[in-house]
Amino acid sequence: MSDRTEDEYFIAVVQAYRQDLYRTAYAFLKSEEAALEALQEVTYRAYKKRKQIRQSNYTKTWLIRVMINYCQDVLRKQTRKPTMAYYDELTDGAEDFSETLLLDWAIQDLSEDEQTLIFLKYFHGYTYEELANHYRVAPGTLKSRVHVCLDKLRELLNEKKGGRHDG
Amino acid sequence: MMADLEKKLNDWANETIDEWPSDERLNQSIADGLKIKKKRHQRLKRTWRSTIVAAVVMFMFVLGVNTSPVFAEQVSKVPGFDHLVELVKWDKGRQAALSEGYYEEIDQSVKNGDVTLTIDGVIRDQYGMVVYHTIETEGPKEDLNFSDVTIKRQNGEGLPVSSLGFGMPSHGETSSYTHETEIFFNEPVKDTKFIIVGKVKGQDLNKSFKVSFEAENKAEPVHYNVDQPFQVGNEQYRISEVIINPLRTEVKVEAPENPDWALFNFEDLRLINGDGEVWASIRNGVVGNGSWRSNENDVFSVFLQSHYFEPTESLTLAFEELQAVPSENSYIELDLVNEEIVHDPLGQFESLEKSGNGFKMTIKDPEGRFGFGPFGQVYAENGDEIDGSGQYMQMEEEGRIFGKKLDQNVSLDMNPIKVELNYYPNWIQESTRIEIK
Repeated sequence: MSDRTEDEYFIAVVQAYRQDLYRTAYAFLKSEEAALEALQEVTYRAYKKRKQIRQSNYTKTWLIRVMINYCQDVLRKQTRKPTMAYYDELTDGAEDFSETLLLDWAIQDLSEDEQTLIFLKYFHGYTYEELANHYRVAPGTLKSRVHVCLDKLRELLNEKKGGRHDG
Repeated sequence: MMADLEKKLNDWANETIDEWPSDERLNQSIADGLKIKKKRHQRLKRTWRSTIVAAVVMFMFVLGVNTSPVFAEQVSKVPGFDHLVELVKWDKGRQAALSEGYYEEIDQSVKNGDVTLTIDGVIRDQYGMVVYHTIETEGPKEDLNFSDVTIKRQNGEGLPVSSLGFGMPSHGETSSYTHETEIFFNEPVKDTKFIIVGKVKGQDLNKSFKVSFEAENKAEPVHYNVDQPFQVGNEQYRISEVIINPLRTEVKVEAPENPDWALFNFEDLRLINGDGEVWASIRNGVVGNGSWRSNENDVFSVFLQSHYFEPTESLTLAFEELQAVPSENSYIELDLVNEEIVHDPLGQFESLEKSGNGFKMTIKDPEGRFGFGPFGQVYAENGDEIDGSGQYMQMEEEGRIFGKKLDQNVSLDMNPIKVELNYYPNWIQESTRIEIK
């Protein structure tokens, strides 16, 4: 295959998942500009590892994971997480924190692997079985991993709510 | 409690984005991703590690990671290899080949105008070679690459090449770029003298090169006579032999006569060492001399990446899944005049369209598991072969489209055409373990 055809083919593969990728980027980065930049970056990152796409039976999941990973890098490099801005600015009661915001915030405190799992399961709606195939583990194992994440998330949410009153 | 949290998560997931950028804008950002290589390169270098970690979790069978200082030290002692270290950083097999002295320094340069191409050195075995090369230009250029490569015997005759990997172009402006070309053969090659021909391309650059070099096959393959059976449906196949070479491991499979199944691919064939770790695994599927269809004496070969130099006490060959269709059904029949699929073994293709001289169809494959290249030889209605110039895949909203270009228009008397299948989205489970050592 010539370079040109291979590049065009590759771009077409990524473009087919543009909405999933954009939605993921936006969920993490909260701005159109940052999410569009993420699309560029992730295309390039994925291109460098494109041989894996040919070997992957799960191209979409693979691309989403590259995207999540990129977003995690971006957030890690920032001195503060974007949602922290709300926390700094708001000192009033509970009603100023939307559930969504708290959840966003709590999810960002999960480990990167846990975040990825939660995103794939709830944000992209993969079933336990699909994820078990993807991670190459038994469905039961996968299910208990998700439950461990949920327990941790609940604890983090409670902390955030408590923290707000203290703050 | 759990349900409550899950509901919150679902609400969170369904939170709408107020303003979606247009599809054109999204597509443009993706297309720009390849154009921004230059400015992004430095920054990405700092962040590759975590990306690789994610990839490794999923594709442990692809990457072997070893960045040990011991290795760096060993490699720095290999004559002529110090500037190539970056290229093998992620490949345990290559590193082992180097550490064991299988890198042959060539250092043969050819100049064409203001461009010099140097063949730095080679790692080879009987089935292939990795050719390391350096491009030097007088002024800095973008996207330097050695492409359109062919390799010949010294007398100019062709070699039985099964695959050629050209690699990535350089990032950003540079006047010196080192990379590799990976060449694999269908059958063992005994020659030691070669001519490599190709083009150095880059920004405003397209120059042809021809370099002669000598490379010996210094590695003795390790043979295991296995002769163990495995089942595919009700039939017995045998793994007759496993041959381990430095670059590739060959697994010889003996099929029964007139098999019930057209065996397209071992999806996850691998060798497992005594610690239960994957020691060698499939890299590019069934390649090389034959498939279930073209086998000679009912034997065909499957190639794995090799860890030739890595000692192990025991080895077990394992696989779980085979891509296959019943052999009498291993073709599709297409009526290109009426754009109708006449025969499709398990109804996975739909929406046939004539496209230029060729055809295209969408594939169902809802899990998106299926790879590339379903179409083999094409025959006219009277049995005459119709040559084709390649196949392609397009990603569209409605799904993936597979197509094939034919060298001639299919006239009424040639219609309908019959297309042999090389791959097809159907899998059978045959969890198998065979001890070979």
